[in-house]
Amino acid sequence: MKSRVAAILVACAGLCAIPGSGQKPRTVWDGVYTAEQAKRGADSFAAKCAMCHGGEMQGSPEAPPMAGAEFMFSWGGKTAGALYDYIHMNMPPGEAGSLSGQRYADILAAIFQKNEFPAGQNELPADPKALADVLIPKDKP
Amino acid sequence: MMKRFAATATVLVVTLVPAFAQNAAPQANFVPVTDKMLEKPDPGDWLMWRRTQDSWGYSPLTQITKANVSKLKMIWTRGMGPGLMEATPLAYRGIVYLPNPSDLIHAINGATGDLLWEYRRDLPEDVTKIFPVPSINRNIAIYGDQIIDTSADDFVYAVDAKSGKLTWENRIVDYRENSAQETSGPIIAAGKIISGRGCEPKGGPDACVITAHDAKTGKEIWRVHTIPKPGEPGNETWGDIPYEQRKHVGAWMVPSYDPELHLIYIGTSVTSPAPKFMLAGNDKKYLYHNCTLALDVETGKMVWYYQHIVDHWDFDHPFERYLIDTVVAPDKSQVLWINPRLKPGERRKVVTGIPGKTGIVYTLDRQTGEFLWATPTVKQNVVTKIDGATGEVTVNPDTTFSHKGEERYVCPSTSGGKDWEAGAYSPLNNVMYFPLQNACMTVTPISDKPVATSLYAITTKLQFPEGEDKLGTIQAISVETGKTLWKYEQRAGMMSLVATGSGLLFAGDSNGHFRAFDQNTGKILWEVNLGSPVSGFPITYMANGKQYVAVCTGNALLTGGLNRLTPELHPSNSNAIFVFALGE
Repeated sequence: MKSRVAAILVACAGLCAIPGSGQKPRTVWDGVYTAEQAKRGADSFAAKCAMCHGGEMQGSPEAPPMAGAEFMFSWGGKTAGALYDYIHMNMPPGEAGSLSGQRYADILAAIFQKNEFPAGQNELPADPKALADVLIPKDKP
Repeated sequence: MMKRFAATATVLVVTLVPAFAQNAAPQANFVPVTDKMLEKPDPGDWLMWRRTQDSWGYSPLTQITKANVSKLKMIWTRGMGPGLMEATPLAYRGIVYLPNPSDLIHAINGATGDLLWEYRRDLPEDVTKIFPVPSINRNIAIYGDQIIDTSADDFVYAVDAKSGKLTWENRIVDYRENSAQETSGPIIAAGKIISGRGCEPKGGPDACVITAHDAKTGKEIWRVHTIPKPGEPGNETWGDIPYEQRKHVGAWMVPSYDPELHLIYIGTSVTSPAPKFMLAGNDKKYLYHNCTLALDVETGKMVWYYQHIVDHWDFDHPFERYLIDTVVAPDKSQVLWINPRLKPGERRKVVTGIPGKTGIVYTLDRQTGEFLWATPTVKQNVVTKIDGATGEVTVNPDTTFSHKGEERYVCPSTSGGKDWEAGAYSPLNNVMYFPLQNACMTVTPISDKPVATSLYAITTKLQFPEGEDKLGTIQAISVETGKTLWKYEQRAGMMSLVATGSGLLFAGDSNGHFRAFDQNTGKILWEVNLGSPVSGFPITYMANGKQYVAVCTGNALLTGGLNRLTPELHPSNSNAIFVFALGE
């Protein structure tokens, strides 16, 4: 009986994390971008982001790193959609929203690759609603 | 027949090298720049970062006045190379020498804007991987017939001021081993190239050096470490932290120099990580971070130091220091912290200004380092007290940390208060003017120990102080009394200033506006929208008997950060120089 309750609770935790999804939530550890997309994103990052965030996404005094512990502290527990929205609405400074949705999604893929989240078979869509279902867990599973 | 041949040859020469040869005339009689000229420059020249070794940011030129400044017109403009923009032009005998981002230098006819020569350093590709912001190139220096700078790949180098050809270079550190970020260039003092630098944590403590090189040959004369080694004075201030783990105490801006005292004044930055509980505890000083250092120009020996604050939040203190001889009579009604030993009417040689991001004005005796007075400007909550008798600073314990995830409300912010944008001093009224930001932040440590992938191991969130919505401010502060004589406040962040001998103060902002103020009242007398953040340091100079005002625009880390607080402002991000003079 005890283990049955526990099983229900675990299942509920999965289902309740994303209300209405009806299935286990996807995370960035599930292969949510492709290697080809990350390569395109890395080129866009070099052209549009690296000047402030550094060529290795290491960050600078006024622009936070996009990889590593500080990135995970800031974005762990949030969704890929929230990160996409933030970047789209704020970056690059003075030119917010100036890139196509596809390029923002590609840059997101490059950030995920730099954080060593695995590549998969499907590209990240340039759709914040679809990305809202993709969790960036605080810890590696 | 002979005449005809000569005419043909002339045409050929003009055709082959049109851009540079046609404009070479102004440099034909180049007069080498001497130490004497640097100590007392011609009024029409701007020969170093803040024009003079005392870092005043003041030009005695008077052709443009309060009465005629409204007639200023743009005379020429040029696009500049890509990268982060914080440039200061030099001007010598009518030629402008312009540092573009990424070690690109242009020599330009200061009256017409025509290019005379270009030097483009062949930087290794991996500098963009090793350094977060290698493109920043704030300033260059001039000495003899050479333009001198420090490079993104950690060399000090000189190019011929007449041709732009590289004449010599000397490696300061190995940019891969002891990675140091040369965002600022040098000043020349007593025939030496004096330069500081930021030091990347991965470069270790040996990247954190201030150096002197022979200004004629580039040969190294001395180097000073900003982090003490075991056995050296100050070693104990790091507790049990091994030398190799002491990181990032940079001196990333440009020093001042007193040729009578033979002393260099240079400021230092925060450590990495910033919160001290991650190192040997909050009770230690971690010298020589966030200090003013007074160094003997001949040997580099540290004559004195003063620590402005033990820093847990990335509140660097490397900004310009003004060297002024003045009566010191701080007004008790406005100045919070005063040395009780000061005598009424006492005259001192001081080093003063706002050296750090806290926005606090510090005035010290520049012969001895004795604390004289200090007082805040914009809202700050990190310093609760400075002991007037000793200069000892007490940090507010409500703003320090003891563990990961502890959020603190801290004022000002990592963008200042004050940041690298420079103020100016006017000897006309003994007043210094500061471009500042009204900003606070929440700060949270991301770890309980140093983290390799995070420079400061904190996250910050910029915000307005409660009840305020004006980010940028200029404050005019009496050097003698410390009283604030006027304040100007506006929505956009403020950028660098220059003061002139006719009582004008030029100032740019992060929204692209460039203005002339009355030094005495703060009244705006002229204004133009340059379209992009006015992130360069403005200067004024003479060419062909005419006074020009020059300033660069473009994206800077700072303006990008500040503009997030003013989302309704939408400047563009074009790197360019704009030059103004009186219309006919």
